[in-house]
Amino acid sequence: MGCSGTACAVTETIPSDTATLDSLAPRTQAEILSVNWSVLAPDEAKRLRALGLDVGTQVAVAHRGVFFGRDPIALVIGRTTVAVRRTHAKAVLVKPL
Amino acid sequence: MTRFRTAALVGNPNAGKTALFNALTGARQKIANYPGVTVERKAGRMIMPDGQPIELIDLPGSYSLDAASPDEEVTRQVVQGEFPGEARPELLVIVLDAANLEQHLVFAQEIIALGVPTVVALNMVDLAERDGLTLDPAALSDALGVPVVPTIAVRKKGLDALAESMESASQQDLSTRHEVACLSMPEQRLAARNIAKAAILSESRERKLHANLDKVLLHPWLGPIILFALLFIVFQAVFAWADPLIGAIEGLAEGASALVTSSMGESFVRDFLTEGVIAGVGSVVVFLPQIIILFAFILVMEQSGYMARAAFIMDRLMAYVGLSGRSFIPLLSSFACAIPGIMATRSIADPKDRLTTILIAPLMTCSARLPVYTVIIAAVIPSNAVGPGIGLQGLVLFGLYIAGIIGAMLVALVLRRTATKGAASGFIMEMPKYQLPPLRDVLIGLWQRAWVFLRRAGTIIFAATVILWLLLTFPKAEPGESQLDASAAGHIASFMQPAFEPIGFQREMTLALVPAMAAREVAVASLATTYAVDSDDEAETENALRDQISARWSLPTALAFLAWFVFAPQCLSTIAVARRETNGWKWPMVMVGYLFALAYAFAGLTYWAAVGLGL
Repeated sequence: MGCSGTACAVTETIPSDTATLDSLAPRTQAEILSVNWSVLAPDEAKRLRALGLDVGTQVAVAHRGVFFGRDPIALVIGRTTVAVRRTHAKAVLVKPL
Repeated sequence: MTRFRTAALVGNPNAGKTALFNALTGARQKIANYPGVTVERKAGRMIMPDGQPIELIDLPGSYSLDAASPDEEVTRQVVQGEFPGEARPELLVIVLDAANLEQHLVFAQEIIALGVPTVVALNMVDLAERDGLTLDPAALSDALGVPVVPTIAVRKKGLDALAESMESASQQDLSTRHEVACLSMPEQRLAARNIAKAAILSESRERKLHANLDKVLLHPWLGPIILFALLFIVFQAVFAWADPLIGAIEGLAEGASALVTSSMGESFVRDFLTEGVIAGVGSVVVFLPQIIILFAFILVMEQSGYMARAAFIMDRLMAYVGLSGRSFIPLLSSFACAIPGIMATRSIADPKDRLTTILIAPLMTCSARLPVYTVIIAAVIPSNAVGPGIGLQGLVLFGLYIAGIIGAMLVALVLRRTATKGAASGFIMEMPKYQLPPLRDVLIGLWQRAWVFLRRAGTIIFAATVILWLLLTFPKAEPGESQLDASAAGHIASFMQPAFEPIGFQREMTLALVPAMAAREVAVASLATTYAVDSDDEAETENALRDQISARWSLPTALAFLAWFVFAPQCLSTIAVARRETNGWKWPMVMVGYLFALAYAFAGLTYWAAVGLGL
């Protein structure tokens, strides 16, 4: 089709009421402000976007992983639950609602 | 009126596509690979309302036409008519999860924009209702510009309406299609959200069952305990429940053997049939019950939605050795047999992850090693109790399983830093909704795995067994000479013996390694023959063999032999399937090489450590 998703630049200034997704408290709704796609492998970025993780989406952390590091993290995006690693979640800047 | 001959199911993963495919085609399915790639092509015959059959294919689940994995690339090429040798489907059936419209409509819009006759199956409407969603299919149809039929594939509801809609799809006016081409991803998503909003009549945000189950099953401490308890039950079942069935298959093989023996005169052909074909293929088919039981558990875990949770729990542990939770499922299957395990690696998107998983799969203790372990442990390890309810023999067996797992983890660690070096693998996985797995889909899945296994037994294993039997039978022994000494296999063993002497192997043991190339458990039969135990009954053979081993083998020798089999690479069918899945000989050779090196080193170490300790 020749359509490709638009890549987003990371905002330079980080407002104080924002957090990276990996540090978001469980069961807090938040809106995605920006995603640093360059941290992710191209296929992983595609997959996350296809699963609905993109700028403007509302997310919440449902579960944190087991064992040490509390990795991976289960995110609720709309009506789906998606598991991601903390390194992915770190690349996502959110604003708690 | 022109009518369709081909149609394809297309949709996101977890939309219930396979269940719909099973419901529409029944068991009339053909599974093969798309040429040049290890992606499964599932095709079946669907009978249309006018009584005419069409070919229905089940395309791999995709999130977008912008492919992120080999599976998705196949889907993209097929629906765009670019796959070489595969005709473009004349009709596309988009399968949507009714409870997940917002997300699934993104891909659906891309498909509709292709301008091919299209019908939407609004699937799993029952689960959407359970989630508190009431949908308006007519509104959805208006918004998308294509017919929408509500279905519940697992209960075979809405299938007739879907078939009728498919039949009349040839009259679709393609010129009225909405333009959605070349929207950016956020725009597509916004459009999807708006369409979903318009189709949802009422919605409550309650998803109690789903959330409550996850609270328990993904609990940081309870979750792993439940998973390990479940795995314990699975292994108990694999070994306990399979016993009577294994006995039945052995009885069948003996019966067939006896029938051939009694109905034919003594001849080369008769020996070939009884000793070669029936004994050889029978010794492999015996593992069918264990494989079916293990797969029944795996399929139920997969289709109920639990497997994704198990992968979630295991991800952190797998990350330590450079793998991800996705490798957990193939490795679990490898405890029954590495062949289905290696085939299950297809679900791993990252090629290096997948390769690493293929390479370590043979280290999981497969059921073929069990006969070898049991006979030798019974022969040389005293049946003392080391604690309440814990016997020394059981402990050694458990230790051998653990040795395989630790070995696999260490090998993965090394591979990820050398041969399969690359960026740390990620773990991105959708957690499907929980649901009761439909018995019918579990049974179809079981039948397919069993068939793959049996076909293998009938081809590769059959051929290997025949060759080995010939090597063991010719040239014929002179009177007074043992057949094994005289045979070609015997000569090969004598030739190999100098290499195995230093790690404590006796010549009979080296000899046993040759036929064990076909299937590991043949080592037991080979030892039995070598020690000239003349018995057809396997239980008797094992008892007698046990006495022979405890009389002839020192403890260090026996331990070295056990250690060898922890790594033992000798299984031709595993090597063959690894070749097919990696498209070449390079990686199977790496696998065989490292397994042999480890088996040799580990057996030697065990032998000399045991001798040094004065055992």
